[in-house]
Amino acid sequence: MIHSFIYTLKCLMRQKYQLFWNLLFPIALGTMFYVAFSGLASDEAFHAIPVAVVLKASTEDIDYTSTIPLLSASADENNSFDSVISSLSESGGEADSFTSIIDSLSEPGDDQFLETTYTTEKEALSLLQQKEIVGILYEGQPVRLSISTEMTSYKLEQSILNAFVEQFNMNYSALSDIAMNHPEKLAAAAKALSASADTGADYNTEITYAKGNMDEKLTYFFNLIAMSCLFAYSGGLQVALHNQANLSALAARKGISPMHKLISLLGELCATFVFHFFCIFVSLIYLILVLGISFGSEGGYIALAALVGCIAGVSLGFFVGTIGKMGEKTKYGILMAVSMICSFLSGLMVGTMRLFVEQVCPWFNHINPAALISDSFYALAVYQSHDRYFENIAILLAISVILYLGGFLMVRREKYAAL
Amino acid sequence: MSTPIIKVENLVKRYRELVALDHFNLEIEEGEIFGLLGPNGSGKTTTINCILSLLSYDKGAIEVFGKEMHPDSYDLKRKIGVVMQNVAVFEELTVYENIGYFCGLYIKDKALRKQYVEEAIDFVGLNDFKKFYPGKLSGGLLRRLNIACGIAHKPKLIFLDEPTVAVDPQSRNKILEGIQKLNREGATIVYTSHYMEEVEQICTRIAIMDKGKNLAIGTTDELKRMIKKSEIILIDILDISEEDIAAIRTLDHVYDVSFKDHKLEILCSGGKHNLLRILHYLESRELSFGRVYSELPTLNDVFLEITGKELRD
Repeated sequence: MIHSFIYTLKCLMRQKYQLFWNLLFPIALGTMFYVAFSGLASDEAFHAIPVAVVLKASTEDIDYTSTIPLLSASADENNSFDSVISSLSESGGEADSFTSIIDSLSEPGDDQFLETTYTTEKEALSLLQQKEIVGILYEGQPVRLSISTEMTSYKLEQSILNAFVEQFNMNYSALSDIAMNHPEKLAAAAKALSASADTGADYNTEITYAKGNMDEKLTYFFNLIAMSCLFAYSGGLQVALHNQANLSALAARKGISPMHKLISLLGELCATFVFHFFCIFVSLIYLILVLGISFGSEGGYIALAALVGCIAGVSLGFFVGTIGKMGEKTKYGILMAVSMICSFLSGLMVGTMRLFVEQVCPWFNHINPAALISDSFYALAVYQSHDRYFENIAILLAISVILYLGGFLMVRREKYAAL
Repeated sequence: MSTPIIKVENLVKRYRELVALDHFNLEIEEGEIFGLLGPNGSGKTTTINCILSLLSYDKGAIEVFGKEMHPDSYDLKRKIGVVMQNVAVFEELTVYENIGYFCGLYIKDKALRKQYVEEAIDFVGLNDFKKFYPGKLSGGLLRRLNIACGIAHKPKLIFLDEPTVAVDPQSRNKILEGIQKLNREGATIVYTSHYMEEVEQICTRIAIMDKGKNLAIGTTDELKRMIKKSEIILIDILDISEEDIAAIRTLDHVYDVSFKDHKLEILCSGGKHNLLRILHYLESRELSFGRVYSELPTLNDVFLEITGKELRD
């Protein structure tokens, strides 16, 4: 058995196509996913909106390119209302409250909303014309916003500014009314507005049972490893072909040797597991340590899922390899198709595919090895309990046992009707 | 009489409607180089695969080393070496590793295995190619590697199934010499081929097969004696009358005479000094003649006379 193990391992390590598909391909595809998703993430990131602020004192009589009077303050900037309240009770509060809000929104940091330049109206219009800024905020009651209709690629930023000014003016107006008519209720009103801004006017509270990262993009990497595990079919197929005298001359030569077929098979299958597990392990190390993909913190369980995945992949190849007298290429074709369909349905190409399958054909996700492997990683990364993880592992092992038994039953035949 | 090393009785093997082996019988004694001679598709490889228990068969009995052969007859398999018709080696292993792998299926002791591998490499003359991968070897060297993989464990019984197909003359001679050497070292050889010259050169006994049947069996001389023709005499002659041809036909041991394109062909059956007698007659008739040839029958003649067709048809 050790003899078969060593030589099979040597053969696998020297097969270029095995190294490519099982080692280089997952790493290359993982890198491509990483680059593609990084691009998406940077596109989605919010950048501070450059604006010019023109205070009343510096306003000049100039024709505007486009002026839109708006009334609002951003719901994000809740802290600002406290300063509005305090400034309302003071003289000249309007100017102070406006600049203090603008200043707080322009503070550098992850949540910086505005990139503000205090300037004169003339200079502001010049900046707008040069597209250095997205809009001009004019202090006053109401606060006004000027934008350029020529800056069509900044529609999103313009809309955000519009909403911000609208909210600011509306809240300012409301608080001013309360201050004039019901000054005793001003504090309560400000508190209510602040609370509303805090919660985003959402009275539902999200409670998560997750312990880790639920980034949807991670599932692509889980599916990538699942696909790599299924690629172990190539090793299983090779074992089958090398042990059936009617399928290869090598098998015929081995068949007339005094080595028991079961011993030979076990040695070769073990070598195949080791080789494929090594490939998956290297891929995982690359994804986790080099690309920084989070597979959770439980290394032992991650390795176990990968190992069981490899066992399932090898069993698939072994089983198909033992069926009938089809040629090697035909069997490779069948296995390639099966592995790609399983990977597709588990969400390798379309992230929501597994959810779709869950809706239309839920049982399939419980027998699809790619979905089970991918879901094992997902369960490790997301759930605190290991129930779902172990359920997946148990099903994978059960499928593998069935496939191995089927394969052994067909390989155990010792005489052939034709070679 | 000693127990034959291989005994095949009444073996019948069918592939659906095709009868590949038709009540085939065979006995091979220890120490022989036994040749199975027959055209492609005559059943030589099928016979070997049945003997090795790789193929199931419909009827008959097979004994190897005096015991019935089964797929799990590991004690018997340990004493057998096989060189397949198709080269069966691992492309990913070097020459040394390939021989080491197959030898390791039989020999567990590492030191002994190493010694056997070195001896096998030396035997087939691949010392300069130990670290070569099969893909880098020529057809002849690949065949030699195939042979080394089959004989490295020093088996007592060796099956060689057309080991010289598509091999250059140099490698072929090397292979044939090697087979004779293995035999001298004590191995019994079963050699299949459709090259009658090879079989005639190395085999001590030959079975001629066609359509799954054993048509004739014996030594080369015994087989040749089975046919009527024992000598063919060819004489270049300008012209000869019908009367002279008829007179030659009446000479002792001459059974057929023909004249075509200035060549006189005389077929003799048995007897000695046939050529001398014919030349004496031509001189007595003052018939001038040119070159004279005398050929002994080949196995092809034997096959032709038994089956009515050439061995290479």
